[in-house]
Amino acid sequence: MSRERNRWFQDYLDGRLRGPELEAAEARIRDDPELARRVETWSKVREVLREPAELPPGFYTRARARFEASARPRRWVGHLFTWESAGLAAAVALAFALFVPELLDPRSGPTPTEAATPRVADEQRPAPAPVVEELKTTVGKLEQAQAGQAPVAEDPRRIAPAPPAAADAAAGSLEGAAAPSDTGRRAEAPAPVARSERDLTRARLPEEAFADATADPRLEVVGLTSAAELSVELTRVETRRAWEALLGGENGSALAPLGAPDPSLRLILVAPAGGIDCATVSVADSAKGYGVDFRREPSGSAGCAFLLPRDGRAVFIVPRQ
Amino acid sequence: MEEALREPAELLDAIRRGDADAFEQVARQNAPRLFRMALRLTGRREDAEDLVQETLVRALPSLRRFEGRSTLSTYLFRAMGNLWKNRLRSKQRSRLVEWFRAAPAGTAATEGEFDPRDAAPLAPERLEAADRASAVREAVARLEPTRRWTLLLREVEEMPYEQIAEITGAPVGTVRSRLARARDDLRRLLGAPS
Repeated sequence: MSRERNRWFQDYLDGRLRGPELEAAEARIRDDPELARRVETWSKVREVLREPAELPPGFYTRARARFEASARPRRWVGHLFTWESAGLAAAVALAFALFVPELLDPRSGPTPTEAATPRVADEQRPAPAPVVEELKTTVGKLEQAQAGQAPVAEDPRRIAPAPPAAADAAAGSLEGAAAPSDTGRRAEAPAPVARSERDLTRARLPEEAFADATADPRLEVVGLTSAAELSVELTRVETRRAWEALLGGENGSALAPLGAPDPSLRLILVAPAGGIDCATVSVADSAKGYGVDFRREPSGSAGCAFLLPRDGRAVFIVPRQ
Repeated sequence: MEEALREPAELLDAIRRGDADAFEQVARQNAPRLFRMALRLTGRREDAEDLVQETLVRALPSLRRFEGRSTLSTYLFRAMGNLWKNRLRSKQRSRLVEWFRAAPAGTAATEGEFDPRDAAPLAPERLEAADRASAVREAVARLEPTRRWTLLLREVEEMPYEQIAEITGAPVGTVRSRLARARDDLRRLLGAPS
C-alpha cells in the first residue's frame, strides 16, 4: 500500500476523518475488496483487544496490602522522633548494645573470612549451588586452554571445532577433560580460573557482561562488530559432568527437552547483547560447517541454547541485521 | 473521553501520607482500565496484576500536583508503560536461556519436536476459528515492545494520537508512524495478505 493510501486508511481506522473525507474513504473501501478485507481484519482484532478483563478476586485487598507495606517505613520514621516514642527508642538502643557488644568496641572489624572475600554487588553475587560452581570452572578451564592454543582462523566469528577425540573427554572427569584444539593437539591441563569480583554464573549475567564481554575472561566472545553493536557469547559445554551440572541447576527443568547428556552432541549457548528471539534461530548445514542465524529481539530471551553434533565441524554465528 | 483531573489534592496528599483508604479509592477508579491494558501487554493475569499494583503503589505516592495539562490516567498509563519496559529489560537479563534442540546434521527439519527455522506467520484461518483471541494475542506478543505499546494504547484504550504522544514521550508524527508499522507487522504476523 502506498504511503498516501496508508495514511488516509490509518486515519479512517482511527476515526480521524470527518465529513467529505470520511465519505470518500468509505466509498473507496466499498469499491476495493482488499481494503474491505483489511477493515474486516481490524474489526476482528479490535474485538479481541477490547474485550473486558475482570480483575482477579481479591485484587484490591492485595493492592492495599502492598501499598501499606511500602508506606510502612515512612510512617515508622515519622513516629520515631515524637516524644512518646523517645523512651522506646532508647530502650531499643540499649538492648542492641547489650546483645551486640562488637558494635561498641572500636577495635572490632570484619572477621578474617569477611575481610578476605571481596564484596560484590548483589546482582553479581554468584549462586552458591555447587553444581553451578562446577560449571563455571568448566567454562573457565576451556577458555584458559584455548588462550594457549594456536590462533583460530581469520574469521573472528568462527569457533574452533571440537575434534572427535574430545568425545572421549566428555565421558571423563572434569579435571581430566581435554580442551578442544584447532591443531588437534591435546591441550595440557589448564590452570584454575581465578575468582574475581565479576564472578558470573550462567544463571545471572549482569548487563555489563553483555555490554563489554571482552572485559570478562569467562565469556568467549566470538563476534564483535566495529561499532560494538553485537557481542555474542558462545560457550561450549564439552563434558558430560558439566552438562549434568546444568541439569541440576536452576535451569534444569527448562533443559529437560534436551534429554540426557549425550557425549555425541555439544551444547551451544548464544547470548547476544540486546536479547534474542529464540524462535528465529536457525542452524544451517553447509560444507563449511554450521551457520547459526538468528534475529535479535529486545523483549526476547537473554540467550538460547541448542545441540549440535560433536563432529568437528566449525560453527559460524551469522546474526541477521 | 477522559476529563481533566478532578481528584482533590487532599486525596493525593493522604496517599502520600500512607492513607490506605485514599489509595484504595483512587485504585478502584483506575485499576480496571490499567488491568485490561496490562493483560494485553503481559499476556498473563498474574503478571498483569503485579504490574498494575506496582504501578499504583509507586506512582500514586509520587504524584505531587497536576497543573491541568494531563489526566491522572495519562500519568498512570505512562508510569505503567515505563515500568513494563524496565521489567522487559530486567527479564531479558535474568532469564538465561530458552532451550531447544536443533535437528542433527543431515536430518529433515520436520523430524523431532521443534524446528527453530519455523518463524512463519500464524495461519490466517486462525482469525476465523474459535481460537481467534489467542491468535491475536500471540501476534501482539510478538510485536516489538514500543510498537506494541503504541498499538495497544490506540486499539485498547482508543486514545487519540496526542494522548499517546504524551504517554510515550514521542511526537505525534512518530506515534502515527509507529502505529502504521505496528499494524503492518501485526497483519503480517496474522498471515493476512499484504
